[in-house]
Amino acid sequence: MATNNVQDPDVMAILPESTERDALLHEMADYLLGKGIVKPGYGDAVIEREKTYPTGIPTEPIAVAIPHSSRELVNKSTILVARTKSGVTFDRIDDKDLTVDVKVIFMLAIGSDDGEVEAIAKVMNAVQDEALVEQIASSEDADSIEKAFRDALAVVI
Amino acid sequence: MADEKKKVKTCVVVCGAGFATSTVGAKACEDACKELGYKAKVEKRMATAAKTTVAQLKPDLIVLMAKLTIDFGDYPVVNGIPLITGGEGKKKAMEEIKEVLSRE
Repeated sequence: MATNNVQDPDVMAILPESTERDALLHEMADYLLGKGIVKPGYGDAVIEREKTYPTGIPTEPIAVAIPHSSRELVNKSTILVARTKSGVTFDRIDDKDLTVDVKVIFMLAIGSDDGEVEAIAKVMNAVQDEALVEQIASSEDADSIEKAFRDALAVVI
Repeated sequence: MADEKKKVKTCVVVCGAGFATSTVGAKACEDACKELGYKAKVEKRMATAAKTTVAQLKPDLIVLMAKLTIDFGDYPVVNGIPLITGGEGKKKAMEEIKEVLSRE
């Protein structure tokens, strides 16, 4: 009976309707706000940060994004996974003059500090896991996405 | 006689928010130090605090996890973004990190 690290962030998943970046980030932040995970203003803070430090990652075959903001506006560390069918344009993390068409978005609502290094490292490993991202991209319901990502966090590292 | 204690290598990892992408860079520094037989002292910083930290810690290596135009003078800087984007670039960035850490 494996006991999971208590500091692992919670995982949630949605199938958003937005097809444009800022609307999508608001939709995701509003979802977290509704669950009491983040404080009002989180969405704006994420969008603001995205403009300066974009988070679109041109991974193959499916590009992802890891929008996030500073810790102050987060009540409870949670990763919100969103899958879009049409793709949403993000600026690239390695060059903000370039864009990338992102299908899977991991909003990293991380609340506390260094105690979560391992947890964040696990999340980042999962984000870089091609097979997992492909599985999420082809999922038709939020529950199976949530389960896939949760399972991945439980095994990596 | 020689050094019984492991030599400490100080790394400063810089990103926009100071916790997400910098964690990937920090892990790379720790792994590289381990492989080379050094003890790793890794500090993660937001871009805004990076210059002050570098002046204080005088690190052996700075890893940038965001595209930044900060002048760190003579301190060796490695672009750590490929660690996130993956592929060949990831291996190359890891090699660069190890090369810098191997310097005396």
